Amino acid sequence: MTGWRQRFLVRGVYWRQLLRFAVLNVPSWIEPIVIGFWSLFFLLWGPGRRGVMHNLKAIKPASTPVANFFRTYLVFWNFAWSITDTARFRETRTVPDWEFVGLEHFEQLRTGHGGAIILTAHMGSYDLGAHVFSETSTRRIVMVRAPEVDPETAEFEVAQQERARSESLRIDFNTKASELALELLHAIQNGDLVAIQGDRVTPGIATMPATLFGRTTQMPAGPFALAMASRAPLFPLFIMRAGRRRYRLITCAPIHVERRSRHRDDDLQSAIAQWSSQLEDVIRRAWYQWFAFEPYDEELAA
Amino acid sequence: MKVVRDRRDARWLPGRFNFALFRLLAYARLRAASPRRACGTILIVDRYQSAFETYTVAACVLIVFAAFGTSLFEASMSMPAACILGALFAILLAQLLAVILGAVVIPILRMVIRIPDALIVTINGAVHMALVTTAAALLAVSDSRLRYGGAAFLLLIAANALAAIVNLFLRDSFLAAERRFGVEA
Repeated sequence: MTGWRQRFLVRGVYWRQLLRFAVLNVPSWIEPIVIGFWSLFFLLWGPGRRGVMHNLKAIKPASTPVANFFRTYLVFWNFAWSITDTARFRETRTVPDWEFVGLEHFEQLRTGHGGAIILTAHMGSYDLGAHVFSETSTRRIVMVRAPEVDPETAEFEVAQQERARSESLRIDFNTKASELALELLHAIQNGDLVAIQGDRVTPGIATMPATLFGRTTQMPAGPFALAMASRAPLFPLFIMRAGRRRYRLITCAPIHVERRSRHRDDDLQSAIAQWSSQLEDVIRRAWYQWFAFEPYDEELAA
Repeated sequence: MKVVRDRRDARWLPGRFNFALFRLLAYARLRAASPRRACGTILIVDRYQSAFETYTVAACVLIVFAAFGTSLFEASMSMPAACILGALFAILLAQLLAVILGAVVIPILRMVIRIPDALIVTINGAVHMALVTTAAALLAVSDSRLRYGGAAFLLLIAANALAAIVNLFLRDSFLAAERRFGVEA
């Protein structure tokens, strides 16, 4: 599909522009009405709705499709609030309240000297978390994220990020894996923090098998290989929406990816197993915050 | 940006509320609250920060618009059908107003006077609230069974106006409360 119609597809630029318009124009006390309505509207997005429902089937095996349908609405509702908070931060620098869980690990991350890797998931507002981290810490943070599929949306996002630009935050897109890996390695060696999402695989990047909710899935191998190559600790960090304009930042104990055996993949596998176990634990407690709109296991979609 | 660290009870700071009535109630609650430390908490002192206030006002606006819509439809259809249409009317009207104000009225006004981006939401909020109050007043003077809903909303508006007057005298106390929490600007 080309031309103006593409703008109205679910990943089209129109919805981003509409969100920006809403953030700049809608009074805060109308927001719940607007977000409630649009979360309902986006339930019409079949592939996304089915993707979330498939994932919920694995997270809550004893649940019914009807219950999962309503749970999907809750996922969309939380997603809508999260992207709204992100857009508001970009436009007006409005920051939500924060609660820190695992404060000792967060302080270690914030005040440490050497480079480190932050491994996060598609939960809450990872954009907002990275921005807030860069604002509260003197450490430079490099954020890696999946590129937008739609070219107009990608252009819009780049322009938006440029507006909210901070000296201590740089955003890279994982399109060119080999070049980016070297850049990230340099960043870590310079003492920077590198934030990567470790719960979803984009085409063209290296993967390794992992188990999530008893099902085999693929996890990105890059963050673990980077941690091994740079000898930097890998901090699992989750940003969860705890309510309106309230977020919880959970920092877990660091995972050290070390070369212990002759088989590099075995060493990586053990780190990936630790990560997937932590990810599973967090998703089990906050399934309504996992913004994975595609089935994480192909068998689930079958 | 004003920030309070490691204090849970700071959520009752009046500066975290927008409407005068909520500010006053929050101040009363703050005075009754005992200091509560919560390590690893950052609370922002911003007037739109309270979830309770936002959801309560949103519910009031939705109810007034829905009751107003229902009162328009009830003459020509059964009450349950009018209620359903009234609810839909309320949801669409609340959003349509924001679109009309943001996409039509504000751009026209901007041709005449300079309006900074930060003021747009405030202007839209004031116009929105004026229209909700008008709908409540029209509902209250109608002969609909729902007129008491409109009257109740008008009472809330009056209480808010009274609270605004009281808050004028408490302005220094509000600031002193913020200072006690070591608000960092």
